[in-house]
Amino acid sequence: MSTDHPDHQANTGENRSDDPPSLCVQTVLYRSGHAEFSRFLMGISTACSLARSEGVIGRTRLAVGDCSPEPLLSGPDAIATGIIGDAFDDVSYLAYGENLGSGGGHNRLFSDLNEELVAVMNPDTYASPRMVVELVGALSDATVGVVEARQLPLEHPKAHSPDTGDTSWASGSCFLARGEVIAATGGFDPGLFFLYCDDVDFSWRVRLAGWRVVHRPSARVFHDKRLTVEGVVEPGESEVRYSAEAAVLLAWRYSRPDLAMETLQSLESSSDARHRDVAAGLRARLKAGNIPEPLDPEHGVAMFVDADYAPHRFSYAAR
Amino acid sequence: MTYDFAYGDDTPYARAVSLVQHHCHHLGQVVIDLGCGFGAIAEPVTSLGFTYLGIDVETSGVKALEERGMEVMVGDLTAPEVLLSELDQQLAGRPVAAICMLDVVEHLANPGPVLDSVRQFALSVGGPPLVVSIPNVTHVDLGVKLLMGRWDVTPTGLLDATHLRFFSAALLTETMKRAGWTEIGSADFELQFSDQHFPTDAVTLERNTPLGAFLTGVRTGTPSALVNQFVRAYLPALTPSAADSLQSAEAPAEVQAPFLSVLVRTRGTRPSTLGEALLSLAAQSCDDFEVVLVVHDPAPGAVEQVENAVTEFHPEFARRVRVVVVRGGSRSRPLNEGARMARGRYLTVLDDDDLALGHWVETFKTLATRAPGRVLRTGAVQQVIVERTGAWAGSDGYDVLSKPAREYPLDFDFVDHLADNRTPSCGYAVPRSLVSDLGHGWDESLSVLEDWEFLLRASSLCGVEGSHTIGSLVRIWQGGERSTTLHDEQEWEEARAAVRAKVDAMPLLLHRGSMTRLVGLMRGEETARSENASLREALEGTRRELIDVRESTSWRMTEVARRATGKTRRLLQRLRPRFLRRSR
Repeated sequence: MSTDHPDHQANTGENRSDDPPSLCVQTVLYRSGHAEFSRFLMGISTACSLARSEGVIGRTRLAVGDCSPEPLLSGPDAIATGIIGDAFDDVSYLAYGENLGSGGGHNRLFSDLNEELVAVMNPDTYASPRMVVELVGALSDATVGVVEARQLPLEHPKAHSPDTGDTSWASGSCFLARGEVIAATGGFDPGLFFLYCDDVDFSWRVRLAGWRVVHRPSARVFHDKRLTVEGVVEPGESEVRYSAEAAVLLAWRYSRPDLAMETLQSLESSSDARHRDVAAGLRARLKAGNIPEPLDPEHGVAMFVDADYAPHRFSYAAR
Repeated sequence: MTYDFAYGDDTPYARAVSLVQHHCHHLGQVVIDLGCGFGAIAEPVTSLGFTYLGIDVETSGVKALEERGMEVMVGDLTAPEVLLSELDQQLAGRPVAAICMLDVVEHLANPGPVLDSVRQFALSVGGPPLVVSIPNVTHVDLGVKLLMGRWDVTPTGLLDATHLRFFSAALLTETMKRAGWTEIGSADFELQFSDQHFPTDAVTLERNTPLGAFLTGVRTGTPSALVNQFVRAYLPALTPSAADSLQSAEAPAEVQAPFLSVLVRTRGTRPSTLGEALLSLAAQSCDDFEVVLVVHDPAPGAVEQVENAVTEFHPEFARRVRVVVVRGGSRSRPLNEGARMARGRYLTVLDDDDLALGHWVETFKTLATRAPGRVLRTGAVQQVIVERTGAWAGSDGYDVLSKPAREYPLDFDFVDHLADNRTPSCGYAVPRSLVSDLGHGWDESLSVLEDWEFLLRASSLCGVEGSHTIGSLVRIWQGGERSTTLHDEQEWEEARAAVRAKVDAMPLLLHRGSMTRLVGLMRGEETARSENASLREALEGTRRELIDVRESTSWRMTEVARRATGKTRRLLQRLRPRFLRRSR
């Protein structure tokens, strides 16, 4: 794999040998069931085995973090070899004993990252057999730091360039990043974004650091999302709260205080008590001066398009 | 009982002889007629160049045959070892062309051991074929009569008083298989009206009554519905099948059958969307299903590509997928062939550009548990996609243009479905029994709308158990190749007319509540007709008033000034509320 991105020659720590890159696959569980986790393992172990057999990746490790109140597994040995076969050279499982959030859980796993590539995946996903091959293929372009997969059956509405693959941000449900990108950015920021928009923030910081974030349609992943009877994706309780909070925090962080205050005022006047509750917390934060350091002052990376963080081709919302 | 039935040009005997002729080519060899009675096939067999040898325990028939110059032997099939030993001596080394057992097996209390002994004997004389003729007690006449509570035993015929065993097609196949006989030919003898077609004025039997036509029609798609006599040829295997009892052997096959068979229809021309459809199946929350992946009229290399796509998946999923190649026929052919090979208790269809949501199979299974035997229906949505390939290496053939749209009603309404299809093929599953037991399937004469026609029949017979859960996503190609663009409007209209004609040709079973539904429709139509008449009357009155006005002297003099005011405006105001009311 080429890693001679001109802007990152100094800090890539790149592998210049012809050996295929090493890969760590990460997932963080939270109240996941055994059946769902088994399906996840079937998909990703098959995709890794295929990529290894084609010489696309080398040494491969599976790292599982568990934020559940009751750990799902007794340890790494409880992951059935009957399911994963010899897809991974090493398997680790860490029960955190607390809910660190998705980003927090992944960051804890990042701290052990020695591989050149890392796949960040939700446990409710099922990788297509060629997903890893296709994702790694996108990183043959040294300017690409993060590549996300095409989600099915409900494709993410975010737009991407059909000619370059460039997209505003990569969904944290399934992306592949260079290890050096994690090292350069520090991964997610769970202190600011506990559950939602941590991937938007991560992607924008990756782009601020000079890498591109791309969408790879040929890398498919099944993400087990459901539709309401009206054919829309209904946000859950936590999504309503944390995505509202993130909307304000993202605007603050990416040098749009005007938008942050406008959004905050909208939340304060919302008929939804949850929004007003979130707004009160943000007001207190503002009063305490606990607002994020502004980034991207020239607005070269961040995109605020209506209520979204990229141009969307369509919307799943009931609006 | 010894029968003295005539041979005839088209009788079960003639069919049996045709099988002997087809499968035996060594003229001069002996055709053994076990349980020969009066030897109805003796002369036809002899005239074909074979040597006839008739054997029966009752001497009247044997004697009559002997008088006709035929070789005979007296022997009792209920003691097969003795009989076959004596037969061996009688043959004295002569080669055997075939063994016939016509109207014999149903008279045996325990046919298995006899058939096994005959098999061993056959092997000892070079392995000639066995031709049997056995009555079918599942002829539609008998089924319909059972509904009337009638079981009319007769001196001869399907319910001959001396029959000890009764055979369906499946039981015959199983019995012969267990005795070590492999079927090589079939010349079943059909009768539209069997000897049990009485009394002729019975409302269930008479095919001109709606009930009779309906009951007969339910089964006429099955191969054995009109078979009066099974006439089959077999070859002996070296060993019989497992000697377990029939009941204990049949049970595991049913128990092991998956809940659902998913028929995936592809031509192999859309590898990317096919891969996505398979991915959506691999990721199902319920794995109690199999996939029959039917590749229809594949281009060179397409089958290998499809097979490779399957084997790339995790073995737990790949082992549940069978790739089947079907050539020729319309869009229905691959579905019928796939259904024939399916083992699941229910059948559904997922085309190669459809996607299942993660709980699609689980939702069907919940419905089947709640209401077994009914058509199972889940919600479905449509999404518009367009063929697109960009310069980006990862671009993969299409782009999504719209959010999922709920184009199909959440609740199933049979009357509504008579007007047009409101359920995609991935939105419903049917009990496989409808296909395997009643012979229903997708109409191969239709080039389009085969799924609608099948759903109408299936839902009429089975009823529908529905869920509002959205289980699948139908992708509509914008501007690309799909059924709506491959077939022109005339073809669609012809197909609609063909479906209507087919439904009209048979009595139609309506669902509970249909009377209220139909009365509601009729009343709605009456109301609409009445409103229409009122509107016409009002229009006519207005028209007359307008003419009066226009013909008046004052109107002519002030035409320009009054064009938009006065009486015209009042007239328009009088009309407006009516039109508004109609448009709601």
